[in-house]
Amino acid sequence: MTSHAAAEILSIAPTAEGRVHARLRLVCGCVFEGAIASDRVLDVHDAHGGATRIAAGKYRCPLDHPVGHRATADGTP
Amino acid sequence: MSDDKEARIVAARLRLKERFEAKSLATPSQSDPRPKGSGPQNRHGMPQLPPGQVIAKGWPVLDLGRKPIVRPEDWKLTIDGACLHPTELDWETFMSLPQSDDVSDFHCVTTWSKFDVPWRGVRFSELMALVSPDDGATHAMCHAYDGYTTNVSLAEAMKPDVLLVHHALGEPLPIEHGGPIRMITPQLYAWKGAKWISRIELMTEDRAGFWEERGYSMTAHPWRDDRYS
Repeated sequence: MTSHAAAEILSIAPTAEGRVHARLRLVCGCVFEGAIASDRVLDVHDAHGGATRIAAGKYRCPLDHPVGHRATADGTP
Repeated sequence: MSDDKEARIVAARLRLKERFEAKSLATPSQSDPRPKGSGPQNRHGMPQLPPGQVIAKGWPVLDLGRKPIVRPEDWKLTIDGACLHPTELDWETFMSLPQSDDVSDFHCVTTWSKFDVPWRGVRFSELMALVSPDDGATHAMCHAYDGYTTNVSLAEAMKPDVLLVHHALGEPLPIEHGGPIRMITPQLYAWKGAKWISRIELMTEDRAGFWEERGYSMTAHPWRDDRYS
């Protein structure tokens, strides 16, 4: 299975201690869903101070897109 | 250490500086005339925030899912392959080597960067002076206790900010961040710095490591957005 960075957090909800249930849109456009460590969810800002939240790390692609595959402009795989 | 060995190491430091200084200065993170990114220049002339990155205050734990527990008294580092004096260092020997303090940035390929992390450890170049890489050595494969591997060119690894660290943020490096010893590569994406490092294999040609075999870049230059092969 290939792994991709997350492009967007679709939803997160706390589960057991230290974990969250996450739905993430990957850079390939697919959706990963599963439990991840809560410290992977980071509050970040860009160079202009704009705040956002990301899920750090690489996640398994359900369609096994090759690494480097990018979603289309509308976000679909 | 014997006088002969010390003299050999001093001579090796000079030879390595002569051999790699120009090559390191010619790498993209020091020579790109129009690097991508934003913010003020960092100390090697690149925009502080590489393209596609955001600034994180936390430091998430990213690994292969296995956290090997290696006590300092059990830790060993093998340096072998294309070199004249392959060696194995234990914790005590490693800590007796010249120690370096540095503050550098950390750029993860999964789009976050952490600025101004204080580190303490031993320069990769100091380890190379111990083993004297062969004239044909061009790359290193770094192996870790969890089975992870990653490749790096010697032109990158010989930079003075590439360290094998045992302290971060003023504290002993925790297991989850690669303690007791991990490598850092501030001018490359951070996956090029193996956590729980156990072996440096010197090579005469490049070879892909764990993530590189799975499509990630052989070279990993942050200011070129060089994430994938």
